[in-house]
Amino acid sequence: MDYVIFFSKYLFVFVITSFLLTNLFLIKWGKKVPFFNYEIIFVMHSLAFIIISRDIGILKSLGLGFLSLIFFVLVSRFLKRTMPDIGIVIFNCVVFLLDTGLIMLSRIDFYLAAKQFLWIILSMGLLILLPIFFDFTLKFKWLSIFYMIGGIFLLGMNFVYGGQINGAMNWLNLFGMKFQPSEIVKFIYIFYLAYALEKRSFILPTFFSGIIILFLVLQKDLGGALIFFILYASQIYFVSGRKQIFIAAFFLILIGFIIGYFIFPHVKVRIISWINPWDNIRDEGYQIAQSLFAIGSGNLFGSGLTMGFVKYIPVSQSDFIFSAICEEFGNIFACGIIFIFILIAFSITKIIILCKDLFCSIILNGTMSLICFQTFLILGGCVKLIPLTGIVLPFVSYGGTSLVVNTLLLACSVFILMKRYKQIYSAELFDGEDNEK
Amino acid sequence: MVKTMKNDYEKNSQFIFFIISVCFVLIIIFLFKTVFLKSDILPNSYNPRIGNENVLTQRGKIFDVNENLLADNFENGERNYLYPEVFAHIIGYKNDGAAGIEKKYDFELSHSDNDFIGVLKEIFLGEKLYGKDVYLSVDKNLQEFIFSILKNKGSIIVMHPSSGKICAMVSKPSFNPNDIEKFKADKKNAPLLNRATQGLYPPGSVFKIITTIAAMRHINLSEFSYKCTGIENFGKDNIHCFNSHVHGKENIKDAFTVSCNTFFATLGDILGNKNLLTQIKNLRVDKNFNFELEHNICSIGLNEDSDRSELIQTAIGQGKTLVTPLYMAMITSAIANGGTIMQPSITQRIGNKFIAAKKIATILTKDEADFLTDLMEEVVVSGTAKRVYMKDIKLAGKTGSAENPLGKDHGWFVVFNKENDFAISILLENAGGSVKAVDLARQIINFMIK
Repeated sequence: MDYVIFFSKYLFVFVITSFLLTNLFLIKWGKKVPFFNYEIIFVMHSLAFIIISRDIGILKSLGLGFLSLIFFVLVSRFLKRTMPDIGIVIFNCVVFLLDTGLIMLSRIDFYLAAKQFLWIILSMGLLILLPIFFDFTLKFKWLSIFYMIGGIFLLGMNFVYGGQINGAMNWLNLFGMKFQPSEIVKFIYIFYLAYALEKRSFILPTFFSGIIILFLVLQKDLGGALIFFILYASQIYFVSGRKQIFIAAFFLILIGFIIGYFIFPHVKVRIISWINPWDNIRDEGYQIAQSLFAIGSGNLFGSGLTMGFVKYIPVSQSDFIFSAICEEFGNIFACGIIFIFILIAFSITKIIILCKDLFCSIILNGTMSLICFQTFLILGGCVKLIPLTGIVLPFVSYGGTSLVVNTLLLACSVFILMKRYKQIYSAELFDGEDNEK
Repeated sequence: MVKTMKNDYEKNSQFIFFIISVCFVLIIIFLFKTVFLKSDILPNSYNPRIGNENVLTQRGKIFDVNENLLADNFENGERNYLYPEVFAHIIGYKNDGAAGIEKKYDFELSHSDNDFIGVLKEIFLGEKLYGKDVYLSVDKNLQEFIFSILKNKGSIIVMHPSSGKICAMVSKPSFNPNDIEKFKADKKNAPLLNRATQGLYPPGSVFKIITTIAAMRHINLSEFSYKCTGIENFGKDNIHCFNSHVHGKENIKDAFTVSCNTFFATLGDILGNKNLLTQIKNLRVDKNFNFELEHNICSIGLNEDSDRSELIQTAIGQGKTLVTPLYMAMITSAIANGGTIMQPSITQRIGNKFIAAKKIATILTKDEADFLTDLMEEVVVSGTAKRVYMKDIKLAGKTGSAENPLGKDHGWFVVFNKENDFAISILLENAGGSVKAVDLARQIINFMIK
């Protein structure tokens, strides 16, 4: 088995490389690479669960592995039949990320992985409702202002009923299920901004953004507040085209951190541990130091699945899942994960170019900014590029609400594209009929 | 109109994509920065991987500078130390905690350079896969010789002044790394303590080197003269010369050669707390430095508010100031190489990667180093270290005997030679003076140059 694990790490790197190549070809030239196939990720999936079975037992591991394999295969067969190429690429990327996350979670905590699998089923199931929801939204855009108010109300509930996890007060308990209102608000917020900015009204959205950010800062959800701020800046830039906005945003964040350093002890801890984790390794710097140990010992090809020390990485199921991946899959694989996010962003810019509708473009840009900057914030925290902000890695980390929201947002993007293709197709058909006459 | 606006959005989204790409590229750079710097990051007592890793490799071997084997593995994977006691303090041990090179280079010793080809070879050719080998800068023959002649409790370090590389380091009593428990129990002799790097001793007269440097920087030392009457009164304290010997009128060279206590006590008295302390700190006596083995930092007994007694005691190397033999080797090397304090190092290379010599700082000017060399050469020619004088090799040294509460005086001797690029620092516990130390130095130098 030791040798199987040893060679598996090279296979995993091969899988992610060929996966990236396949999708790059697909998006660039609209055709598959002749001998690489997207299905290669199921090879990785099967091998990974066989390796994990040594640690957590054959029944559990192969049970979850087999069920999720069947699920992924069925869903991809079903969904991809009607999708255009760019949609397939986005969907492939999501499946790859979900699969990597599922493997890593099974390795860290089987119970969480099983729960995550249920969330994956739920979020894919919700896709059936998406067309109805989307048509409804397009028809009654003005309703989104009420969603927004509802969302802010939901966020305010945190103050009253919120439970604390890792120091941040951002969880609500609903019928025994924990969920994070800020994730749902992200979804609403993107639609609301699209509605408001399409009409070129800036004052009300700024006001709402301010309230959301204030709420989140008070609830000690620093990462959430940052995400909303960046999302806001990115959307304003998208409709106005002024690059100074990013410079202003950068300095505002900097000032925010400096003020936060003096006002909030939890911000101070984050900054101290970022500047020098080694001298404060006993307390403040412990998390980031463990993350760096994991990344450093991962080397290029990793220690091999189940051979690393991921159980020593704090919150390795959510915030630091990337460090765990770096350690066991190696840093080349981890780079591949980053490239997958770049690929997602690239696909969305492609859709923005194709889609000729401002409302939809703003939603697309919001989706891209949300997913990618969120990834940047948490990965930057893991590698000590920026202070740690405690948010989840989209699709990979454990976290039900985040998973559902991110999946729905990306599905919206693909849906927008499909609608657009339908338009083009029917227009061509119409033109054709015209010519015949 | 609509069309031009549309183009704007495309550009805007492409710009955001550009920013995102830059962000992600930054992350990739930091990722590989961490991988690149892993040898600095990973060896940390908070890293749970140290010593617990399940690795496919056999532990790498340890060699001396001439590639003589010092440690490898038995068939059962246990460590085999070929010269257990001689290299105990350098190589350290791996079972029951870890110490020495085995601890410092645990990661390198247990990880191979090219796992992939190694494992293929292991599967198909049956060759064992080894971690990286560590090559010490220590010369096995010299180390063995010094180990055999050092009977006293104490330590001897031989260093290359130009590079800071250590070519022998013995600490007695030594221990056997295969039987740590037994030696741990011996609290009285503390054999596990590496006296060369961890032992803190009063420096005695070798500290006059430092007092001299301090005086050079604050008064016109070459013009300074003083009349020694064998005893001098400083307020509460009377300072005696050795055996209350009367040295008469003397300049710095005379006083340094005979190691006149009253002369240096007077220098300290003239300098005052602040000046002496500043120069001690400039010479990095109390600064930490990187070194492969466990080591202690010297402690300065003097501070700005110390009384006169502590000041003059410090000036002649008594009082509360404590130094390690390793630090004395470093400062001696700095004088020998023209003023640069080098980072001490005991490793030549790891696998194929050479460990380069590193400068810590330049602490002396060329003139100061030459002046001190001159003084120290006179010590060997006509002063307290006459017994080591050799016709065909130009040695420069300084003796010391340090009073201590435990019994007879500790004996110190530091000596260097520029042409053959060596500096030796010897400390003998309770040897009753420096004579034995000087004799040991003579044997070692004879062994080295023959």
